[in-house]
Amino acid sequence: MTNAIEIQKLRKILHSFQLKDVSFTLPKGTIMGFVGENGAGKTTTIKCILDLLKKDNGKIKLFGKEMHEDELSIKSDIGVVFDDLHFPQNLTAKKISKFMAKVFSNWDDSYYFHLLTKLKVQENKRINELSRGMKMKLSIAIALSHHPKLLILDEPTSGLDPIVRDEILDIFLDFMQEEEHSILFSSHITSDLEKIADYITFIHEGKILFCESKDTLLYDYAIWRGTVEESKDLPSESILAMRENSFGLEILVKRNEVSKAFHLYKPTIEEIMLIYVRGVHDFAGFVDERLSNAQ
Amino acid sequence: MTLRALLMKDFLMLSKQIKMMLILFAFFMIISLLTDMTIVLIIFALIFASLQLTTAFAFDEMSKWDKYANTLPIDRKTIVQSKYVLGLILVVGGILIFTPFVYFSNEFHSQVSLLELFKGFVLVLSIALIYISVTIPFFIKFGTQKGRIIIFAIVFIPVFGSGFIQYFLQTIDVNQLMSFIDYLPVGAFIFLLLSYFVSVKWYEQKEF
Repeated sequence: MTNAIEIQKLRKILHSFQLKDVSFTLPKGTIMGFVGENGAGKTTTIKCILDLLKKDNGKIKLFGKEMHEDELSIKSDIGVVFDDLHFPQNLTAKKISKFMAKVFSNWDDSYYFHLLTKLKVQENKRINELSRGMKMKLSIAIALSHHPKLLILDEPTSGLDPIVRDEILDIFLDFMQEEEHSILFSSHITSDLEKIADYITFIHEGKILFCESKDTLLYDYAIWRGTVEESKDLPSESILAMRENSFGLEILVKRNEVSKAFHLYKPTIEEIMLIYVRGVHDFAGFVDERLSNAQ
Repeated sequence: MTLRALLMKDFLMLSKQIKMMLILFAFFMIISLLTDMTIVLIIFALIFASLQLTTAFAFDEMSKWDKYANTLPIDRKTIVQSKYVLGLILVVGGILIFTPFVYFSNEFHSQVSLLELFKGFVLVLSIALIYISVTIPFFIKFGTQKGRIIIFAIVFIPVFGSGFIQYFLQTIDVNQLMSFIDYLPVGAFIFLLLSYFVSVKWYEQKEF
């Protein structure tokens, strides 16, 4: 089985930021949530995938091929949604369909207008008169109307209300009814990803921290909460990350490596993300320091 | 096909401006007829055509269209070509609209010979081609904000330059200088080709 996206050791150096050996794989037929805080490197990675930014190093394959091998055919199988609608502001949804039908040989006008009706986007309104939610829905309708095999979405739901977000997620789930279809979905709204993603890839300061199936994250990972003293009893090899807050410690552990005697909580993706990003990384040193301070 | 798509997008985007321009032209036509200054119309047409080209770049830039366009199955070369073709259509279109008008007006007043009139057209067209050739690469490389400064330079250098030319005219035969003008269209065409290759190179290196 070929993968929809395959990235190996992608490196890109920008002025004040760099991607450091980013690698991950999006198998066909799955949805990958691409998470990370603002500025973590999500957009830079996506731009490299789309060749909007030239990579400095590494390999990016889409449908098993590198972009330079067959750029136009790869791009005709992709639908892209950015966090804003990048069409000239005085155009309308109707006018957009006129020329997009000439860009894609398989542009489906009836599906496009069906989506617009379904999403209640007015086809004769100029883009600059549409609300943010409407713009994003239009952007999604445009991205879907040539029946792409892969959707690349860069923060499509940020800044939208929960109702619009839910509508949009439904559209993506519809899209996934086809076995061959895949989605790369970057977002920092982790609850959206919890609803639809199969895999979660987590990027932090230009580096991939983990790339796991969502079920592994939610069922094989667990959070233990307690004091520094109590944490000494946790087996050190089970600890993945740790964070201190006003109530004590929050430790992300591998569930099956911790005895059932410990009370463990099921984590959310947001909690996992926070513990990784805001937590301490040298656990043993941290615990020792805290204990010696206490004495 | 994709070239047509891009041109269609630009014309849909500019349709309102072009309509306004045509109304303005109708108004100028009447005035110029009364005052017998039809050749001025051609110059107007060219200024407006070049303004539309700048507007097209500005609209694209404001909406970050190029970032999106480069995710579509469109060759980068085609995107560059579309802007040159747009410029040519606007300029040639502008001239064609007025050609019959200028011709009849001239017949009526019979000021200049047909050959002189034709030479005038070719000269104006050459200047327009040079204008397109200079602006497009700079818009691509630097965007319309910095590009505008270059337009000012294009307008003002000849103005200051004319004083310089006048100084030279005292030493150079005027007829000799005029004979160069006959080669201007060829020069403009070569310049346009060069400009296109530079634009493609700059656009292919661009990151979005």
